[in-house]
This record gives sequence, structure tokens and C-alpha cells, in this order.
Amino acid sequence: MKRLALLTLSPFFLFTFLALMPFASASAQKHNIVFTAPIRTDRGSVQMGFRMKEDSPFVATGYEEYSHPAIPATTEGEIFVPDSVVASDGQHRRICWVSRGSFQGCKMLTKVHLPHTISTISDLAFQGCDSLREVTLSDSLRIIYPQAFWGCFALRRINLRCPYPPLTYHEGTFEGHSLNTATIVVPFGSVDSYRNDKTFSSFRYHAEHIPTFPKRQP
Amino acid sequence: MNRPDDSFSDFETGTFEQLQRSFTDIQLINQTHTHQLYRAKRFGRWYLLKALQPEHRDSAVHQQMLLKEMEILMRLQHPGIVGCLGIERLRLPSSEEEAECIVMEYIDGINLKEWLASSPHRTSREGAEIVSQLLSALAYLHATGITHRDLKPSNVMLTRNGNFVKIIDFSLADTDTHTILKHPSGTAQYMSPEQKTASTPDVRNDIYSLGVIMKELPLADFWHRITEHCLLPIDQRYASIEELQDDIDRCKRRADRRRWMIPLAVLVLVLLAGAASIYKLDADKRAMYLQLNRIPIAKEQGLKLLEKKINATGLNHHTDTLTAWRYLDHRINEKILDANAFCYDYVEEQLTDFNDTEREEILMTLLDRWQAWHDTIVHRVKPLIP
Repeated sequence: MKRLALLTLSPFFLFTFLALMPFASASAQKHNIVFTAPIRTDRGSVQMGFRMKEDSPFVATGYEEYSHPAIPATTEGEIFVPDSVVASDGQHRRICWVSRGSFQGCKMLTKVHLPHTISTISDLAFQGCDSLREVTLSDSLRIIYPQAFWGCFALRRINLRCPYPPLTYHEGTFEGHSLNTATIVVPFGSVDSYRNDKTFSSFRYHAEHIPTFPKRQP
Repeated sequence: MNRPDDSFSDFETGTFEQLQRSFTDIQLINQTHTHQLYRAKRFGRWYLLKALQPEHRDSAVHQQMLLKEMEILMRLQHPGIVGCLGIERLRLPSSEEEAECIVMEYIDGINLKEWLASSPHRTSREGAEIVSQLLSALAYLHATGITHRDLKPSNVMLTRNGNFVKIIDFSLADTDTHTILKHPSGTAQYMSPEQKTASTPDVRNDIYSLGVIMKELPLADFWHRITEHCLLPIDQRYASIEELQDDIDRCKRRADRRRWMIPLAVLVLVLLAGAASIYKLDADKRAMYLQLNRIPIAKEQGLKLLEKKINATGLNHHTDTLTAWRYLDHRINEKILDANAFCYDYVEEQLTDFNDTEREEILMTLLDRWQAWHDTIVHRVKPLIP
């Protein structure tokens, strides 16, 4: 009896498997949609690579392979990552992820401004940017993965907008040298939060961004 | 009552009855064609007695001259002018009759003519001292309205006890108040050109005579111009002793400055040469010092510049006097971060000869100072922010 049931149902299973296989491959291909879009620099613009899920409203900077930075490695000066970008399908999508190795090895970058939409900075995102002096992180930043800023020997200033320190992995988020000489700029009244953080407490110098009286609107 | 014991005294004192009140030891010491000069002692002190020559003693003119001289001398009281005690009728050795004598102080010394002749190696300092005393006496003389009119080296005495100057022989002196015996007079060589014709006394006559005397005195080079100025025609000559004195002072100051400039310049050159040689010798030591102290020196320099930068922001005063949040400088964050950036720029741009470790050390010193300043600013501002 059991043998009869198995013999009767197996074509059904076979048919189902064969029928779904195209869909499965189709889904794997949709996860790896990549495209490029121009972003502003202080010297004009540069093409930056983004990746996204087809049905996702969010994109991440960078490509799948972390050894390949999102922008040309010879990019110089200051870059301004926008908060959203027009994807290949013509839809606006928010940029909320700096993926692994997005700016890895960009030795000529001096300043990077990340939008307020970025919540995650992946590991090795800025690894080896040894001319990077200043980075502005968003107020939505929640996590920085290990060695994100490893090798950034020239780092002078880290502008932190979030009133609470983002989650970090204590092992080498920032280059050891930077901890002695870089200055973190934190929101007013959040110094104590950062001083109690295991990563950010290692920074020797800090500045509080003092709020000024709102200017009267004309 | 105890009397003072004078048994150990060297002086023999007599009584008032034994006191010799008249002149004694009268000796003729000099004479001219009109006058006789005697030295005489009274009360233990020598005096000079000036009398007319016997042939002129009956002459009313000469008597008036003697009287005029006495009156003029009695008006004068100055250490540079011979003192006069009055006129007395005395019996002189040269004649049996008594004669009127001007009694003056006896000057123990030699006149300027003898002084110049006694030694050719007189210094300009001595000459200048004589001129200075003459000027003092003449200034006094002219202030009393008297001109000497016969100023010459033989009428200038130098005392033995310190070469103090005393002007003598006022027989030709004149004043505005005397209306008699006004005629051109003087010694030709020392007489001003106008004095040969004019009878009106003028202080510039004495200035001319003084100029002639100065030509004979040993004086420094800068006196040459002053002397020549004394000998100019009357309307170009110094108008008064005060004017002459002012010019002398001006020239002295200029000469003093010049006198010190040369040795000072030499000294400076010597010092510079010495410093240069020491510098050269110690160049290695200096280099070693600089090398050993390069980090502290760089730190000190950086801190000085940082302080300047901080002061330039004006935030210290601004926050110290801040009363409300609304008045807070809108550029406060920019200024604070500019000063922060300065620390990095200084190290990167000025300390290219230092290695990374050294630069990090210096940078941290500057950032420590910046941090302290930042904390002060925030501490002042925080209470005002809601």
C-alpha cells in the first residue's frame, strides 16, 4: 500500500519541483540588482554603485563583492552621499546601508558626508581610506560593523548626529591611532552617553555641538 | 665757672688791647701808570690795597675813577669776582702822606696769562672749567648791570687752592647808573671793535673779550664755532651770556653724544664679533640643544599660535559676559571647530621634519589645550540653554 501511494504521488512532486524551479532562480537574481547613479562631490560628480532587492524600497551603497568599492578608487576630495537615489527601474529609493567595502581603498577621499537615512555601516566600509579626514554620520545610524574605519590614519573629525552612540564591535571599529588624535563631535548634552560607550569612550577629544538660538524667519 | 683749658692750644691769644687793628706788612706788589697795588696784613689775613699813583692822587678825575671802582666792587658779591671791603685812608710805604686805598681780598694765585705760560700741556677739560666759571661770574656781573670792559687773561686770577677763577681790576668797568667817566676804554687786543669808539657800556663787549680769551685757552673742537660766534660783529654776536651758555650746552650735548657713539659702536662691534665667534664655536652645541628640544620647542610654538587663534575668536569674553541664550554667537561651533582644525593643520604643515610619533605627541599637546578651552566655553554656555 505504501509503495502504491509513493508511486502515485512522486510524479506530482516531480512536476511541482520542476514547475517552481524557474521561480527560485528568478528570486536569487532579483536580490542582486545593481545599478549606478551619480553623486555629488566637491569637484563635480562621480558614478556610485548601488545594490538593492527588487521589491525593497531601500538600497545599499556598493556592490556584492566587497573588494570592489562603490566609487572609483581614485575619487578625490569630498563626497556627499544622497539620502535617496533613482534606481534602474526609475523608482526613488532611500539609501540606508553602506555595504561592505563601499569606499574601501579610496585613498584620495578626504571627507564623506552620509545622509540621515543611513542606519548601518558594514565592515571594512572605509577601510584603507588613509586620506580621510572627516566623516559625517547620520542621526539614524544604529550599527557600525567591525573595522569599518580601520586604516583611516588621517581621521581628524567624526561628526556624530545621533544622541546615542551607535552599536559597535569593540574590536577595531576605528584605527587605533585615530582614537588618540581624532575629535568626535557629538550632539549637545550627549557627551556622557558617548563617554560611557566602550568604543567611543576611547576617543580622547570631543566637542559638543552647541545649539544656537533659532533665527527669526523673515 | 670752669674756664676752657687752653693749655694745649697752639695759638697764642692776647687781649683786645693788644690787637693790631691797622694794616701791617704793607708791600708793593705791582703798579701800573695810574695805580699801585699793595699787599697788607690785618688780623692775620692778607688784603690787597689799590691806590692811585702819587702823581695822580690829587687828580679829581682819578679820584673819581677810584671811587667808581670801589662803588662797583661793593655792589658785587660772587665767588668769581674779587671781593671788596671798602675804601680806607692809609699811609703807604711809598710816600709819607696818606692815600685813599680800595681794600680788596688778596687772591693767592696767578693770573690766566701766567697760568697758560706755566705749562703748555693744559687739557681741554681745564680750559672748559675756566670758561664755565668765567661765564658764571659774567652772567652775575651783567645781571647787576655792570660790564667789565677790560676782560683779559691778566685780569683773570686762578687761585692756588683749586684753580678757582676770580675776575679782578674793575677800574674800567662801567654801569648804566654811572654818568661819569664814560669813555672808550680797554686793552686793544681784547677790546671789541665797537668798544674803541662807543662809550655806552654793552655786555657784548665783554662777550667779545671772552671770545678772545677762549681762543687762547685749550678747548675741544666744538668750542671753535662758539668762539668765532663771540668774535662776530656786535649785531651778530651773542646778545647775552645766557645765549652763549645755551649754545655751549647744546654743543656739549651733541659732542657728548658723538663721544659716546664711537666707543659704543666699537663695543657693539666687538660684542657682535664675540657673539658670532661664540655662536660659531657653539654651533654644534646649539644644534644639539635644538635637536634635543625640538619637540618642546614645537609644542611651545604651537601653543602660542593656538592661544592667538583662541583669542581671535573672542569667545572667551563673549561667553564670560553672556546673559541669555538668544545672544549666543551663531558662529560659536564654527569658531570652536576652526581652532580644533588649527591644531591638525599646524602639525601637518609646520612639522614636516618630525616623524609620526613626534607629531602625534605634539598634536595631543595642542588638542589638550583646545579641549580645556572648549570645556570652559561649554561650561559657561550650558546653564543658559534650555
